[in-house]
Amino acid sequence: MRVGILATSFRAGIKIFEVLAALQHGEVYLLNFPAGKKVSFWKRAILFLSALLSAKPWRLPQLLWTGNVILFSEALDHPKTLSRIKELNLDIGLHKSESIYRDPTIRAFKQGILNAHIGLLPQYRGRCVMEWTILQGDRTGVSVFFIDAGIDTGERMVFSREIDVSGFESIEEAKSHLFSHDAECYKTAVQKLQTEDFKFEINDGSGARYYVMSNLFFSVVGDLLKENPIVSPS
Amino acid sequence: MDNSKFKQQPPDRRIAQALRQRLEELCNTSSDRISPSRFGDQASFAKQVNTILQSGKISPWRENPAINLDSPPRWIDSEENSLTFLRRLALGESPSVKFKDTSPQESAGNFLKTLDENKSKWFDLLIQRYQCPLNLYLDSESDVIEFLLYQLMVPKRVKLDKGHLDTLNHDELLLILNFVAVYAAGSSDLRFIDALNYYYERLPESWRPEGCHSWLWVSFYALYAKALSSRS
Repeated sequence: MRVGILATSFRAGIKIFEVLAALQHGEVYLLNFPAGKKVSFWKRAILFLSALLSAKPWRLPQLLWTGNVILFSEALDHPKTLSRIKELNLDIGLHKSESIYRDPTIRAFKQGILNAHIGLLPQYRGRCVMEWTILQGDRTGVSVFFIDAGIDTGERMVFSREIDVSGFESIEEAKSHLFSHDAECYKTAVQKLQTEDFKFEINDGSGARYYVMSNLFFSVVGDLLKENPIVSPS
Repeated sequence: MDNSKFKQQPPDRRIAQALRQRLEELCNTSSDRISPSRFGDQASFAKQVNTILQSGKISPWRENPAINLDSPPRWIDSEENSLTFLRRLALGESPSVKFKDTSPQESAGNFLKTLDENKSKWFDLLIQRYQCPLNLYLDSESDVIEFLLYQLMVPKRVKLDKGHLDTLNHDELLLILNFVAVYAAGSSDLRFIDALNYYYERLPESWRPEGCHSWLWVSFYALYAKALSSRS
């Protein structure tokens, strides 16, 4: 299977790259492109420098040499970027960027783009879903599904997994904990997709779409986190 | 890993406590936020609402015998127009209503298409359809109230957060806030009351809405207070 990690920073993508590269089932590419539509010279320079100065700076020259890291100078949905991605003949894209994906981008990957969403689908779609989940006394977790043009409405869900966050002191820590599972979740998803008898779960869109939360409810969520300590969250 | 901690301690008490505190804050600060002197010929309405809020005696919908929000099964007719209905609700009065056997000719789906095709006429279209805003509770209107929530929390919120409040149609924004407040008072869906929380927190205290119906800013406070009271 040929997989491309869509990342707006090298630092964000390299962890997923290393976990998937260790699988040794096909090719993995880290597609590093600048965020936003209009990309200035300085934005490109910052992108390159931040990649060079990231956690594993020696990996960048090495992976550039092998061709497994590609630094794009244009935004993701630019025709030049999409044309190059299509040439790579990738099966799956993995979302690790700040982009909203349009149909031409999604179609540049044979099977589509996977998203590790920090909420359990179909119940929790949209923004601040971890916070809304806690506020409503439900179980937190991650769902890995193929993106479509809607907001967390892609029907093909590879799996969802409950992940406890009740040991964390703050919303930011709890959220980071959920996000930190993305590499493992993507690895599991890629493995599942390669099994012969794999069947998708259906994200039927029956859940509500959630929005940005008020400060009032944020404070309630913060209190709920503190009131529910456990010894060692994993 | 045990992931049932939150479920074992339902957060309802916490939420109710937070909403009660917000209600107290709103009542204590209403004289600054909706000072009658800022509302010209609507000063007496603002004064009446302030008196109600400062007394702290906000009656939730469920205590109003004229308004049964247990899922009204049929379209409700009102002798008042939409704006008068909102004013009377804001003052804790009971507008007269009667159930009709027929629904409006235009389905909710078609109404949403009409809104999409007439973006500058939302205010008029909304008050025409929802002469009685309680009809927003009907199952048939669920897509419309979702659409109004989306409008508040995505396109209008983005402008609010960027400080571009002046680019919004204030009458339209306030009407939608009033409608969502009416709905939030009887709905268990926390997204609706939280949209009101969000706007309460972000709209500047010194804001002076421009438009023909700036008194909707006053009624919003009263209806938000009712929604808070109903949930706390």
